[in-house]
Amino acid sequence: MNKLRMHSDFPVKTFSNVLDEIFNRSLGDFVGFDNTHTVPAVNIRETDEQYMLEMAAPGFDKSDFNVQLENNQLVISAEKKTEGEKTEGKYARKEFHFEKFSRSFTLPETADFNKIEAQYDKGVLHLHIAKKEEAKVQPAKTIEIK
Amino acid sequence: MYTVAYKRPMQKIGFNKQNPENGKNRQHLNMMPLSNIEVLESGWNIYLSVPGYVKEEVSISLDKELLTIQGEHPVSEHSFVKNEWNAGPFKRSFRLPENADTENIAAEMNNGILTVFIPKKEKRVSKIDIK
Repeated sequence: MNKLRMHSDFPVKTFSNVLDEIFNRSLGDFVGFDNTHTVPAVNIRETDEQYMLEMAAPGFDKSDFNVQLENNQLVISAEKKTEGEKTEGKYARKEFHFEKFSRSFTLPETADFNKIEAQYDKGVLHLHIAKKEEAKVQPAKTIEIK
Repeated sequence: MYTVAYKRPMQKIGFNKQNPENGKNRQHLNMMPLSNIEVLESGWNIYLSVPGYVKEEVSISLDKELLTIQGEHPVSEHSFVKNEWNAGPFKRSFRLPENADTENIAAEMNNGILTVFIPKKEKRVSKIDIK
C-alpha cells in the first residue's frame, strides 16, 4: 500500500485558499474562454440583384486574404504576414486579436458562383455575390389586352 | 496591475444580434469598439478596432487625465440576413496614469485600426552642485 506523501511543492489547499481562488476568478476562467475576439464579425445583406457580405477584419493587408470557393462553400481566410522578428508586447488588455482566421459560408443555390467580387477597404472586406439571372426579382409585367 | 484604467461600459462588449426585419430602429444600437492596450517601456499603445470608419469620423480629446475617443458614422438603415457588427456613433474613455506625457500623444489610423501612443514622462533628474 502506497503511503500518501506530501511533496514540498504540493500546494496546501486550505478552505480559505479555495474560496479566494473561486472569488478571484472570472467566469471566463471557469468555462475556459477569454473575451478576446479572434474571429471577425460578418454582416450579410440581400438585395434583388446580389448578396453583400461585409466582414469587419481590421489590421490586415489586402494580400493577407484568401477567398476560395469549394463547390458551394465560400471560405474566407487570412493570415497576417509579419516580417522579421515578432516583438510581442505586454498587454494590459486584449479584446481583439485578429492574426489568423478562417470562416466559411454556404452559398445559396440562387448565387451565381462566377460573379463574386471582393474588395478590402478601411478594415472591412466586402464581397459582392451576384444572383443568377433567373433568381433575380423580375419587375411586374403588364399584359396588354388586345 | 493595470496602468491604463478605463470606465467599464454599461453594456457588455460584443456583437449586436439584431432582428433582421427592423432596419429602421437601429439608432439605439450601442456601438463599443474593441480595444487593446499594449504596455511598452516608453509608454502605452491603445489600439481601437474601428473598421469602416474614416479618419475624419474619429476624434480624440483629453480632459485632464481622461482620454476620450469618439466616432461618428452613419448607422446602416438596411436590414440584414446576418448581423454581427455595426458601425455608428461611439464614445470610449480611458483614464491615463499620472506619469503619462499628455503633451505628446500621437495617433494614426490604418486599415480600420486606430493607434494612440501615449508616451511616458521622462524622469527629470537634476543634479545640484555642492559649492
